[in-house]
Amino acid sequence: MILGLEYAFMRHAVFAGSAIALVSAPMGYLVLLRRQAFAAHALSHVGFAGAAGALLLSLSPYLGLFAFTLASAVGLALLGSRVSERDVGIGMVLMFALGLGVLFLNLYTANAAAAIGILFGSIVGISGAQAWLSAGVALGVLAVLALIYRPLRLASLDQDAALGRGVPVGALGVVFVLLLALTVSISVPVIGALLIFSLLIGPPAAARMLARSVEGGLLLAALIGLAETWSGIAASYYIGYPASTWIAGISFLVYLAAVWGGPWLRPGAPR
Amino acid sequence: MTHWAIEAHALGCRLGARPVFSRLDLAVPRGALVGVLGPNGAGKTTLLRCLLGLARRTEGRLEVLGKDPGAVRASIGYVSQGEPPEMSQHLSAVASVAAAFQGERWGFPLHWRLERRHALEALDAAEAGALAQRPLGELSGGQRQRVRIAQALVNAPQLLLLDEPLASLDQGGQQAVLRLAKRLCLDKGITVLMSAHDLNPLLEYIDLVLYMANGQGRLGTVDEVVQEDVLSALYGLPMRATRVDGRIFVHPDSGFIPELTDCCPHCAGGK
Amino acid sequence: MRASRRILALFLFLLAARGAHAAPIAVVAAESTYGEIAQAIGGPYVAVRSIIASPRVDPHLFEAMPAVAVAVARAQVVVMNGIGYDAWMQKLLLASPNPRRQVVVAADLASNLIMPDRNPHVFYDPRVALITAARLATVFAGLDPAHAAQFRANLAAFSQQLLPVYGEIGAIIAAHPNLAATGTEPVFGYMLRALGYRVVNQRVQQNVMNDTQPSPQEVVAFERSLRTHAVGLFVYNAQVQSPLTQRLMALARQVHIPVVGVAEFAPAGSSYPQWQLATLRLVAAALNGTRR
Repeated sequence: MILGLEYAFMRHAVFAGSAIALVSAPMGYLVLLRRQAFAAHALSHVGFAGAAGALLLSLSPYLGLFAFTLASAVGLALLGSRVSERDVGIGMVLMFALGLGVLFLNLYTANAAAAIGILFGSIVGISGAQAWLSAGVALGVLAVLALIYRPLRLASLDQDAALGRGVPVGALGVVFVLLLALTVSISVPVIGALLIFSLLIGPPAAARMLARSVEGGLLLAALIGLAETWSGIAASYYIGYPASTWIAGISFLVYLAAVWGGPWLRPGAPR
Repeated sequence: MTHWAIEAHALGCRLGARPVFSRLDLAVPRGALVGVLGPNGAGKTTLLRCLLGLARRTEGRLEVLGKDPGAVRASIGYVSQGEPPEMSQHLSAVASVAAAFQGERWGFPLHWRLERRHALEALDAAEAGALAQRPLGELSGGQRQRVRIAQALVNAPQLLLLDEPLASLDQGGQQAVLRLAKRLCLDKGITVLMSAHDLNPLLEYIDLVLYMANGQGRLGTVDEVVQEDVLSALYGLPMRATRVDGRIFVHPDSGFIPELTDCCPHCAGGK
Repeated sequence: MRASRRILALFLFLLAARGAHAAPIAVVAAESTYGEIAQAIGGPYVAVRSIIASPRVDPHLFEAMPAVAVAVARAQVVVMNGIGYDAWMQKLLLASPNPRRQVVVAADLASNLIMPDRNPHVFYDPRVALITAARLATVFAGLDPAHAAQFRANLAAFSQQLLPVYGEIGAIIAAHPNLAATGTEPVFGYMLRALGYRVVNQRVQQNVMNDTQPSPQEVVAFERSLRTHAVGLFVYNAQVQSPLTQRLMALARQVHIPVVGVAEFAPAGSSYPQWQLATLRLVAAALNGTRR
C-alpha cells in the first residue's frame, strides 16, 4: 500500500494532517486578507505556553492549548481591529504568554520533553483520539466559517463598506480570531508551534499569487495545503527526516515558485 | 415613496462630547447630485456616516429614503474616504465587487454565478467593465475609484454616499468620476452625495451644494449658498466668494486663515 | 513514479513477511541501554533495534521519524525507560495501537525505586536493569516458549555480570564515604544514591536538563558550593553541553574538584554491566586522582 497506510500511525498522520491542511488554508487566506499573520504567530506560541502549563498540572496539553489560545483570542480582539492598533497589543500578549511558558518549564521537576515536543510537533506520533479530535474541530471551524463567510469576506476586504452595509464587523472579528485560536490549537501538536505557518500561511500566500478571486484563492490554498501535507509525509516516509521539515520546506519552495512563476501563469499577463 | 431622498430638521450629531454639527436642515430631492463642501473637520464624513446610521444622531429629526437611517442601509451605497488598508492587490476588480454583493447576509454564497453577473453589471454601470479581470494592484487611482463605486452599486442602491472620491485623482480621473456620478443620477435616478475639498471641479455637475463650516451647514443651489452673507454667517466671520472665469474662490475677507485654505487651495496660491 | 512506489511497497511487504516468518522476536528499544539488555537476554532469538544509540542525541529532545514509527508499529516487544524520559515513544505507541505488542517500561516495573523527585535516569540503578532484564526474560519466554530455558540462563548470567558493579560501588564507598556531589544534570542521580552521596544544587540540574534558565541565585549558590569545596564530586553529562555547564565544569576543574563525564546510553558494543563498571571506574579514578 502506498504511503505506509497499512500502519495506524501513518493513517493518523495523513488523516489529521489533511484535516489541518483543509482548515488552515481558508483560515490562513483570510488571515492574509485581514493582515493578521502576527496574531496567528502569537496564538501558536501562546498555545505552546498553555500546553506547557497543562503538562505541568498533568493535564492533557490540548486543555492548555484551547484555554490559552481562546483566552488570548478574546484579549486580542478587545485590543482593537485596525492593523495599526493591533500589533503592539499582540506583542504584549505574546510576551506575557511566553514569559509564563518559560516559568512553567522552569517549574518542571520531572523533565520537559513533552513540552519541548510541542514546539516542533510530531506528525508520526498522533494517536487515533488526537486525529479524530483534530478532524472534529476542523470540521466545526469550517462549518462556522461557512456560516459567517459572506459578511466576513466583505469585512476582510473593505471594513468601511461592510460597516456601511450593517455588518457587525467587531463581532465578526472576535469570532474569526476564536476560529483562528481553534485552528492553531489543533495544528500546534501536529505541525509544531514554530512551524505553524507552513500550513497556515504558506499555501494561502502561494494561492494569493495565483488566484484572482477570493473563492478561487480559498480552493487553491486548500489544494496546495493538501498536496504539501501529503508530499511532506510521503517524503518523510520514503526518504526520512522529520515530516515537519519536509512540509515547511515544500511550503517555502511552492511559495517561491508562485512568486516567480505567478506572473507567467496568470492569463493575459505580459510574458 | 416620498419625494425627498434625505429630509432633516435641526439635525445634530456629536462624537463623544464634541458636537460635530447642529441645527442642520436638509431636503434633498431624489435623483439629485449634491456636493458636500467645507473645510476639514466641518463634519462632512460624520454627516455621511450619520445618514448610514453609523454615527448616532443626537438631536433633531432625520429620514433617509422616507425611513429611519439604518433601516434602509441595504438601499444605500457607501464609498469611504481613502482606500481601505485591507484592500488586496491580487484580487481582480470583479472579485472585489462580487464580495460586496449582499455582503451583509449570512452563509456561504453558492450562487456565485449570480454574484458575478451582478458584479459585472455594476462594473459596467461604473464605466469600469473593461477592468473586470485586472488585478486591483495594476489599476490607476481613478480606475480604482470607479471599481469602488461599482462595489457600492452592486446592491442597486437608491442613495450613493461618496466620501472624497476625487481626492488624490488627477484632473482626468476627477472628470471621469464626476461624469459617472452625474450619469447615475440622470439614468438610474440615484441620489448622490459627494464630499469634496474644492468646489470648482463640481460646479458644472452638481444640482445642490451643502456647505458645512463651523458646526453648521446650508443646503441650496450654488448661487443660493455661495454668497458672501451666507458664507459669513456659516463661518462666523466676513467671507468673500470671488468669481473669476466661471470659477469661485471662497476666502476670508481680511487676511488668510490657514485652516480655511483646505476649502480652496487657490487662496493659498494667491497669497 | 507510481510504479517505483509500488515496487517499494512490495519490497517492504516482503520484508515484513520475511520478518514474521523467521524466528527472531522483533524488539524495539527506545535507547541502546535497553537494547543491550534485551540482546543479552534474548541472544540469537531476538532481533533488537535501538532507536537512540548515538551518544550525540539528547534523548529528551529526540524527534521521531516515520522509519522509527514503522519499526515501532512492527515490533512484538518494545522496551523503554518511561517517566517522561522517552515521551516520544509513548506517542508512537499511541499512534500505532497494537494489543498484541508487549511494552516493557523500566520505570514502571521498578516503581518502588523511583526517586521522590521522579528523576527519569533510572538506568543508573543496576537493580532497575535487573528487574527489566527479568521481565524481558518472561516476555520472551511467552513469545518463544521453545527457548524459555535459554532466556532463563541468560538472565542468570546477566545477574552474575552485575556482581562486579556492586563490588565497585562498595569499593568507592569504602574509599570515599559520604560525599556531597553535584553536576550539570541529574543523569547520575541513581548511582549517586547507591554510593550514599548527597546531591546538592538540584534545581540548576533540572533546569539544565529541561533547557530552561536557572535563576541567578541558584547559579550563585552552585558556584559557591564549588569554590568552598562543599562538594567532593562534579558529574557532567557528556552528551549535552551548554555555555553554562561548560563554565561550571571549568570552574570545578580550576578549584580541583574531581570531575567525571557520564553518558546517557551504553556505548556501541558495550554490555550494560561493562558500561556501568567502566563509568564507576572513571568515578573511582577521579576521586583517587585528587586525593594524591
